[in-house]
Amino acid sequence: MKQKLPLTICFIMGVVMIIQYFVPALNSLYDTIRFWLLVVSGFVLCLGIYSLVRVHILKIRRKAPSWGYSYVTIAGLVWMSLVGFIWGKEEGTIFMNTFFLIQVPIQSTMFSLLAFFIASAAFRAFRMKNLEAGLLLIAAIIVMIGQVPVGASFIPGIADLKEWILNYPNLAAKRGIVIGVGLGMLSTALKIILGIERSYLSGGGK
Amino acid sequence: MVTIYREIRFLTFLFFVPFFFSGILFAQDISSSFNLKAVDKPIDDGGAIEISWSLPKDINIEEIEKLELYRFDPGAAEPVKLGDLKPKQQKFTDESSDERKLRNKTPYIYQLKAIFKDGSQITSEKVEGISKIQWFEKRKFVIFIGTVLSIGLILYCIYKAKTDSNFFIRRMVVIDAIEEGVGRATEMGKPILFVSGTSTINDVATIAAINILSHVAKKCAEYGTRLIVPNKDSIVMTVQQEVVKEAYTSVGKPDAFREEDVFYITDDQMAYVAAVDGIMVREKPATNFFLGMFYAESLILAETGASTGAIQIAGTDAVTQLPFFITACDYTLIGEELYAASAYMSREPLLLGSLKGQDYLKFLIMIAILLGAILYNLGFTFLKDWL
Amino acid sequence: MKFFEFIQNLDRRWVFLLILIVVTVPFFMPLSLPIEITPSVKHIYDRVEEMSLQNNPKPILISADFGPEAIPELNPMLMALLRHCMSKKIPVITMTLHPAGPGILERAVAMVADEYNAEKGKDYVSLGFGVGSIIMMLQIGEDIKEGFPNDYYGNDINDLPLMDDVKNYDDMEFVFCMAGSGLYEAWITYAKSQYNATIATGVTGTMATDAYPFLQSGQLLGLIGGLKGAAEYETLIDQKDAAYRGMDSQSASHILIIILVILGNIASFVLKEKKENK
Repeated sequence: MKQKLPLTICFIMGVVMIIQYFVPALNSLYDTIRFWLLVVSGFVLCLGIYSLVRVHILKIRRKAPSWGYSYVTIAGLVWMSLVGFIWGKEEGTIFMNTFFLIQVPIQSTMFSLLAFFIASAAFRAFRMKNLEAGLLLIAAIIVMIGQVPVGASFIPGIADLKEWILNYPNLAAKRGIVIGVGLGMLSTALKIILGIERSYLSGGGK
Repeated sequence: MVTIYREIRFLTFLFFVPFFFSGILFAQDISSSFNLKAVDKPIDDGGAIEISWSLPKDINIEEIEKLELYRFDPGAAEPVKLGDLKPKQQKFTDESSDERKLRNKTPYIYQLKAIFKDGSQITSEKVEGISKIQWFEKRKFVIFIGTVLSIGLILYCIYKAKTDSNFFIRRMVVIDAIEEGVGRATEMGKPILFVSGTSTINDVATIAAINILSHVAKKCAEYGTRLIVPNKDSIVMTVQQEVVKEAYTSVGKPDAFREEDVFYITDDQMAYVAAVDGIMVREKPATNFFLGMFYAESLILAETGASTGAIQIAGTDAVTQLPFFITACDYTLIGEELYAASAYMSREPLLLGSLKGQDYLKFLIMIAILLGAILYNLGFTFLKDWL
Repeated sequence: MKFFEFIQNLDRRWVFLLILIVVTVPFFMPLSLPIEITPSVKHIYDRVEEMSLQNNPKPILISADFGPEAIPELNPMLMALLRHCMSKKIPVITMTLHPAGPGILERAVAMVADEYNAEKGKDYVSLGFGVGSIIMMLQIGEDIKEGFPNDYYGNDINDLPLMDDVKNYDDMEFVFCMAGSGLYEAWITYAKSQYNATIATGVTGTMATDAYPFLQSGQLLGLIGGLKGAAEYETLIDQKDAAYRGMDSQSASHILIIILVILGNIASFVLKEKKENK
């Protein structure tokens, strides 16, 4: 029953939604399901908060590695919730100041690491070992130069060449991969609906 | 006196008749030029009629204060006013609501009235509209054929796989790399890090990654290698804990499973990446697996892993992240190879059958693309227009 | 020869240091090079310009679906588009599907509204965070007011004059979605395919190449890709700001990477030949 009920629900909903896509007569059913999904989506947020708090409290109780940071996590959650509810979320409030002075710089800093890592990865990996690697290297150089104003200013036509590379060879390869990925997703979705793929049931087995 | 009165009455009648008839004729001219139409709303489950009109050309729209639309229900004595509309409005959809329902296959009569600023008004002719249920959306016919074909082909291949399990699937190099990676970690006495993407359980790539995790966990259980699985989503963590636990149980080592090695970090993308980078730098795993859906954090993970000297095996269907993984990792599963790998490693006939079905579909798509490209270049666009 | 060996074994930290220098220096020594405008950005600009010539243009729905990590790339294009719309008195409806989005969006909207004296509720409406991502996209296709019964400030959506004639995508000129993830694809899949909404998108530089197939097939009205795209838009509206300033750093860093790659390849060849000769 523990497995059969979710599998049955998955199968029924999967088939119904496929049929609904082609049958306008089921539009009102679609509206009802969409409304319920809106409600469920809201509850998922609550579930996320519950999971976060539960996991970190357990970590503190067990004195797991880096358990001190769990206090920081929970304190951050409580702080932002309290100041948001008490003083509001408009510009100039503690909530917004905390967001822009702490969270934004931290996340922007992490994202900015990409610039450094791209440079070191490109230096390490772009070696002309064979013809394909050479083509990749030349294409990369053209796109990098064509993308920035200095390239377009000093090398006439480089921006157009870059656009050609992006619009034709790049697009052709991407479309191929996207079609493959799409078919893979179709197949996996079908397996989930039919109950062949059950790994989402907490390792419920085949 | 009576005679004069009768003559006056007759003359008055004669005087007003032309105006009366001209008024009727004139009104008929104005009402017919409203071009009022009432048609069933297309592609719906009935209970809705679309009314459209265009104001007569000899009316100055600036002189109109508002438009009123009326519906005559069958058997009702008085018409129902549907609403006051703006003068520029040219269409209105009469839909069923909680207060009133439009019955299907029932004729409803509509009439439009234009109210001028000076208080005068003119009415349109009455038109009939009937709402109907549409049972099939015709414009999706080609998609329907494609869906039936796709599902049919995959189901057929799955059915064939049940009866004939000698399916040939070419061996992927990365499968050997996975086993090599686990072996390397065992020899070096270092742990294995498995990151199953940064998406939720809804994502197909996450499910494919979890399948591969099951096999990696079995290998780790057999060799006694530590497996670290940090998670970005708590639901995915729950699933993975069960998967890894079952893997350890299946090889007869349930006690070797460490729940604290399959843990949840945070939902935040960059905070999660920072934590995983920290794990890589501190624990120095011998092998890193990056399988699943990734976003911008892919290069940060891969580069940090490369700096620790680990062998890295990646796989994602996120096309934008593939270049980063290909550059920074030793082996990469590109796109659908991730889904294929999970089927290949399990050797489940049903999974292999669906993989075969996918390949047949891809073959059909290739033929369609080639055919379409050739026909289009020869000037035959019927295939493109039809599809 | 030692030089080539040094290059071949170059510690990545030297690369990080060089990147730091070339990114920082242009802020103090700007080059102010001209920006070439690409058609994908121009399409969006032209559409907004066409709207400005209409009597009562429909509003544009701007969905800022990004968090703090994508601010440097996506905030400039958000500001540029808001400035363009508000300067031309084109109504704007803003929303976000990212939990961290409301703060970023509201700051940008408040800043630009202040510049152009735009009136809340009349010239622009802030709807805030929409729960459910894809579900919300589908909901907007049916009735936006059911998805957002109140705006970000708690006002009843029916009390906002701008929303009087707005029910769904048919009543909007186009949707401009900004995402640091693949969410723009969901807008195309659900809003465009099911409701025939017109979609334009602004994405980070790494995602821009991914969006080209949709641009070429006509599923996207236009595409603003990364900081360069934002700089192009700023150039078009003649208000050069953060994105334009950042282009010098981007130029310098690209040139540095190319030089390092070429040096690395030369070092590889030279050392390989030396090894073969031995």
